[in-house]
Amino acid sequence: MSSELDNRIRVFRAEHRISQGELANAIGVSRKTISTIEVGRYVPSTVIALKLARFFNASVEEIFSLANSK
Amino acid sequence: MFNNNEPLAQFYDRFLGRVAIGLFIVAMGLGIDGIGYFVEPDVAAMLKYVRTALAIVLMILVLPVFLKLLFLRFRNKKDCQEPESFVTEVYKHASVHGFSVVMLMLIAAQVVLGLESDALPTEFYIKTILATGFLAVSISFFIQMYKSEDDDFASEDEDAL
Repeated sequence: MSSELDNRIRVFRAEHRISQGELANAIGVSRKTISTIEVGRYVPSTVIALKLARFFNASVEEIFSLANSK
Repeated sequence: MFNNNEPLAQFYDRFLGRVAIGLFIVAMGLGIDGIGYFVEPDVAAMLKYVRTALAIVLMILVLPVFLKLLFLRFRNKKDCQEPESFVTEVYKHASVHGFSVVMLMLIAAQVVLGLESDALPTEFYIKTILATGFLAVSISFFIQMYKSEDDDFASEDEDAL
């Protein structure tokens, strides 16, 4: 629920060719959680961020960044 | 007995949605009880039937998901208590709103009623305050979920591209 956090989940999903539902199942959250993270409505916990990073085999910083850090 | 194909996180979101609907129905029931103090006895008797109908709807909507949650916990699937989800966050916010409304109602009741609280029984005030609190939780939950639907559709549209 913050616009301060940017994320590249959609880009990573496109690269891995998986849907929101598949990603949600893979890391053990609901599809709604993934969709709201993607649009920046929901700021995920550290655990979810780490699970996403592990799934995409990337660092958390590659997926998430502060909006004003660009 | 239960559909085990549904992901646990998805089920937990659905469970919270049903709980919010349940709270709304309970608030309606308590509200009907409150109305019963102001209407004729025959109307009040009819309202009791409405209340019974609401209780049946509540059982039909909430009991199955509640039993499934107990069933999953019994089988040690602790993941179903997933605390990290958007819907859980929405529910927490809604609960805070409900608690705030109850506190404000209690303060208002103290100030406004004062010594003239004998006009209606204490039960009426307790039910009214509880009904308002439950209503605040459920409406806050529905509004926040409704707002997030737009994001959901936008995300799906871009997903399809």
